[in-house]
Amino acid sequence: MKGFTVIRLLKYIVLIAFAILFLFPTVWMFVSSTKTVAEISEEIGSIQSFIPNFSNIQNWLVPYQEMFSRFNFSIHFFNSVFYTFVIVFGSLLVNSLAGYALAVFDVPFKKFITGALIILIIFPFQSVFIQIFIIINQWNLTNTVWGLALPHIGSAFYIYLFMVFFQKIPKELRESAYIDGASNWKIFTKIVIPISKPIFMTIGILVFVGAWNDYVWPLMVFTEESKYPLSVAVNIMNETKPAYLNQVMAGLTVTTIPILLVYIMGQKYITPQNSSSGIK
Amino acid sequence: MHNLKQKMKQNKTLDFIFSGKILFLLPAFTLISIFVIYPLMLAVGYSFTDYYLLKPNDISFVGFDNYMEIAYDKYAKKAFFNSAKYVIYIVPLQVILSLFLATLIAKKSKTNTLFRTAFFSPYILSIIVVSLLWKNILDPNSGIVNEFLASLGFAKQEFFSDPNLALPTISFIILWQGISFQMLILMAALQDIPSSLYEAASMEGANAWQKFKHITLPSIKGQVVFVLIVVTTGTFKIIIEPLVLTNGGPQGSTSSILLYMFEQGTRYRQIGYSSAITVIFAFILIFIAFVQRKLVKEEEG
Repeated sequence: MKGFTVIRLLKYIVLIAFAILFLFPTVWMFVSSTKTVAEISEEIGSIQSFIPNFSNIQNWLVPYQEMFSRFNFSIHFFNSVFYTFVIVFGSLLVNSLAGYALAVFDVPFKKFITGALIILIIFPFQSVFIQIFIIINQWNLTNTVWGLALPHIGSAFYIYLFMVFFQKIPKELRESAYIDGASNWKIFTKIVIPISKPIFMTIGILVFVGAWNDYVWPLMVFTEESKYPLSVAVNIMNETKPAYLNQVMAGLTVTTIPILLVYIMGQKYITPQNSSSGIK
Repeated sequence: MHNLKQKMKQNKTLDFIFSGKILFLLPAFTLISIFVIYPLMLAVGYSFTDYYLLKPNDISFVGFDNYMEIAYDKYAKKAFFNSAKYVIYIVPLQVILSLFLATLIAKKSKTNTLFRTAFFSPYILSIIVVSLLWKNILDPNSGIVNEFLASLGFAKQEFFSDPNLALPTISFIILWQGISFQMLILMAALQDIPSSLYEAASMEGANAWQKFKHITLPSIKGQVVFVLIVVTTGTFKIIIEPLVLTNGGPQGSTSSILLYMFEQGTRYRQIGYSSAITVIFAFILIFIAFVQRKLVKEEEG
């Protein structure tokens, strides 16, 4: 057991090196968003640039105020919240209904439909966004929330995940309600949804993060700057001269915080098992 | 007999429609038909035409011309070649590094939870935030990394405008963000391996490498295949990073298939040409899915 401690030491050196590599950009982002431009450029490259200036704590939010007033950031923030809400709500509703139908009802051509769904999972949104844009353009839906959201709602992958989950719900639960005269809609909303919280949360979080972070599609759909979501606005902010680094970092931080909150709140629903189960 | 079966099937369909059950399926069915199936068909159709976005009434059939043009288009070839390069740079390193880190911190302990959180942190950033963050960190004049290099006496590097450095730099950034999630998947798999297996191997005098080769790897093969496929497809779908960081340049050296398709379709408005790229891209995706099926089947058998 002679080499034991040396290997242990080596292991921790490697782990700490990787921890620094993975953490330093995010730490720098948070810290820089609270400093003045002069402070940032003075400290750059030194360890100081990763430590907040506690003697100046009352001015930490100044870059945020400057950024919000200079770029109309609250409009973009509200846009992002609104678009994301529409996509998450639409996606949960539409895909859960379809997944439920395929799991429970005697759907004609069921085998063919589920087979087709699995094939469609191969083609992600990005592979056909040029053609989707043509459709949206012909329907005059550019610069509208519908143009942005509608193509993002129906998803073969999420239908499949819902279907797999609903198949595991015991038949007896539904059948007793059916005998009592409840309609399919009532059984779905009153019995199935309440016991299916995990799958709704998992898919809800996945859709939320995807919609909030979406960049290329909003760039195509929106030509009016006032309609841009945060992701597009933050890039414009970085490119607008003069670019003040503290304001840019404040913008990136504001873009990140909602995602951080969603992950913290939904921690127990985002597990590797959840995310990989649909593929196998 | 045959008739009866047909009748029953008809009743099943009629029942499905008139009982209102069809309403559960209809919204998703409509949306997927319009925004997944129809665009795929459009892509195939347009790829045989000279459709120019601003002249939607003047479309003519050009056969395989668009496909031939891709073969002679220097920048298209570069984009396809770059996507292959991204895969070569990113996929093996990402799988190996995430497996390596997962092995180091799989054991449940307080320190490992700290490391896990640190390693997972890039995952909460969106691609656009990661891109802009690294764009500033690697800035040729005032970025942290160049200041650091300068303080050590090295020359400052033009990470995004040097044609030899730009693609490896973008690959690094993608790798930096991508490792976290794959690591988590592999870690969960490692934690599922019963410790009795390792104890038995220790008793027989197996060393660490032998244990890794004969116990660890075979037990997590399924998840490794999963990670491999996810990372490969993900790497072929790269678009935001080169779009934001280099706009595909310098001289097309960082463009990807999707970015080139996007540029042809939006900036140059060549829908026909762009659609031909879409079709080729779809075939690449089908090929990967085919390989995945084979690998999964092999593993199960």
